Amino acid sequence: MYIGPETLMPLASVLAAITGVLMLFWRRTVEVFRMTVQFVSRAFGRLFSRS
Amino acid sequence: MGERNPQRAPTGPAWRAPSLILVAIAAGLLAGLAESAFLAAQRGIAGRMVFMGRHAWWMTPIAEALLFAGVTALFLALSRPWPRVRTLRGVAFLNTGLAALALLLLVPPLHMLARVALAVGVGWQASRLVDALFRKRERVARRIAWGLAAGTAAIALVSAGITGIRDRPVGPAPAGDAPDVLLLILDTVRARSLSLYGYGRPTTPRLEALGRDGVVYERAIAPAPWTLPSHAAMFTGRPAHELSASWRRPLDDAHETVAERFTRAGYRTAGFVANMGYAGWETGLDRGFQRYEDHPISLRQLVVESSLARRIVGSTRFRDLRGTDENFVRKSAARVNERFLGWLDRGDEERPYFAFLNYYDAHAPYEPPEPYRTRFARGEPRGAVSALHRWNENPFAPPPDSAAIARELDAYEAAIAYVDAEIGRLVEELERRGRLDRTVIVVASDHGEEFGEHGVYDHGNSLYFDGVHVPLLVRYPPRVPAGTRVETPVSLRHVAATLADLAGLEGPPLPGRSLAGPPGSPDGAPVLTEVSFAPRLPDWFPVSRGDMASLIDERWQYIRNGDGAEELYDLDEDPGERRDLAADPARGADIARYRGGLPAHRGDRTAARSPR
Repeated sequence: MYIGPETLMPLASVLAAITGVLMLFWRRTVEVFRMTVQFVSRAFGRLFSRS
Repeated sequence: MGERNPQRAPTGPAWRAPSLILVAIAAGLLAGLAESAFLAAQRGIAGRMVFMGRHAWWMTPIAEALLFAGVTALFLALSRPWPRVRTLRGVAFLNTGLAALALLLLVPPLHMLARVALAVGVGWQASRLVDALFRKRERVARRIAWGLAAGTAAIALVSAGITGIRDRPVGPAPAGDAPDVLLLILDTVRARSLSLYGYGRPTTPRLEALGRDGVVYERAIAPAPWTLPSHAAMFTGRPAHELSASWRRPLDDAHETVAERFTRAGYRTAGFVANMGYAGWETGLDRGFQRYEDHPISLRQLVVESSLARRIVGSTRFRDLRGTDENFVRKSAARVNERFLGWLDRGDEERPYFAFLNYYDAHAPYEPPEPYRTRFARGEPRGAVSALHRWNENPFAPPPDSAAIARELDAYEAAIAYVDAEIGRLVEELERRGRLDRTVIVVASDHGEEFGEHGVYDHGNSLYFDGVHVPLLVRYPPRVPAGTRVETPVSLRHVAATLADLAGLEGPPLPGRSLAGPPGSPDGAPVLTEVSFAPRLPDWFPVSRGDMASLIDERWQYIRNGDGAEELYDLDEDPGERRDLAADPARGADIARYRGGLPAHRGDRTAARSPR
């Protein structure tokens, strides 16, 4: 699969922009990630405890 | 939902405004040093030219420091109603964000919005760190800032010292009758537009006068249709394909330059160039010169050393605001001459010199000063904004109409007239000083210019005659007969051997041959000119199809394109090259002769390098 400059450049820009936003909201991002992991863990826990 | 960000309530003593400005200065100095280091690393690791000035190591930090300090002062003035942001954290966020943006501008393949987003994120996190480290250490931060300023000043002093040490002659002076040698290169000037070659407009009366005292070559051919390989060939005597110089790579030290030969012979040597990009120090053309002036040390140059400011002043919007497309930093022919004469005055009168002067005034955007600006205007002159220059920046757009091109041509030839006048003043000054007749003067151009005659503009995009047919004249009364015109085609790569011969330099002959032989010396071989493939151009640009080569003799020009297509023009019957005779069966033998002769001129490089 050929990935040339016309693909890499927009891809690099998107990644750079996402990185910048994540850095700006780093604490909120980590918090959201932590809450998501906790929610998923509890959901799986309830699922397995019923079965 | 989580605890409130403790950084919102700053603790510790409030910083005074002068301390906050010092933080900005420190950030600017560091950003400037980082920029210079990044560019130097690109050059050192990838071996590519990055068009960084020789003084960037201290000018860039100062430029960024001044910019950051100014922006911070404005920020502090405007944020008086909001004391919560007038803190170390707020100023650190602003300046580290600017520093990150300045560095990201040096990374080409990123969209501007992505750069801004990443810079804001980096600034936010960096400001937390700076606040944590220095919130209660204002005095330490001030000392660091002053230390950085002192370090930058030390770099500037070392740079000035190095320049001064290099600008010294080597060894004993040559014999008493050794001539001065002056090489004047008129960047981008094509022979067709010169009254020296019979053009209808009086563009070069001073060159005509100079030519009457020396030899004028009617069919001088540039080794390449753009600056760097053409200059490199002139300085080394070798054809362009034997040299490393290319679009992003400098001339390496594999071959001796004529400046090195003059320096070893005890001459004072110096170069004064106005084409700071492709004739600047980074190109390797400075090798052998004791002094080489390209980027000036000036306020305008200081501004463009900052990547942020450079982005702004180079933008179309800024140029619209200024009302001109003129380069923000541009050295006029008058300035080049002034710098040369000042250097001459500072040196040993008894020691001869070799000086190379490069004039950039006829290079796009064509901005001749008054009264030359309107000298050749037919009707309404071209405005301050150059449609052709804008199109050169985006050649995929439709080109300007013929009326706009005509106005550009008028401006171009007016610029040539200006350079001619300045050369005249220089010659008069040398005569006033009693040095004219002991000076070997060679005037040439590195390449020509096209104005859509074959659907391309500017230079370096093809090998058509207007792009490679250049002026060449040699004046030195003791050895060069006056009033001579040589019809035989000659290559500019013989300039090096000619200069060495006329100056009587010892040592093995430089490649090429001296043009100072008897007038009319037989030189039946066609002259080679060539250009390497250039990427990212429209496919109707000949150079976008691969490496090109051309042979030119007394009557014919043969062109081999990068895709193997051939062209043949009768320069006597068809000087505008409107009728391609390559498909004419009557010209089959000529085509075969040139096709067969090309390998001998280019070694094994005749198999063109193509992007496919």
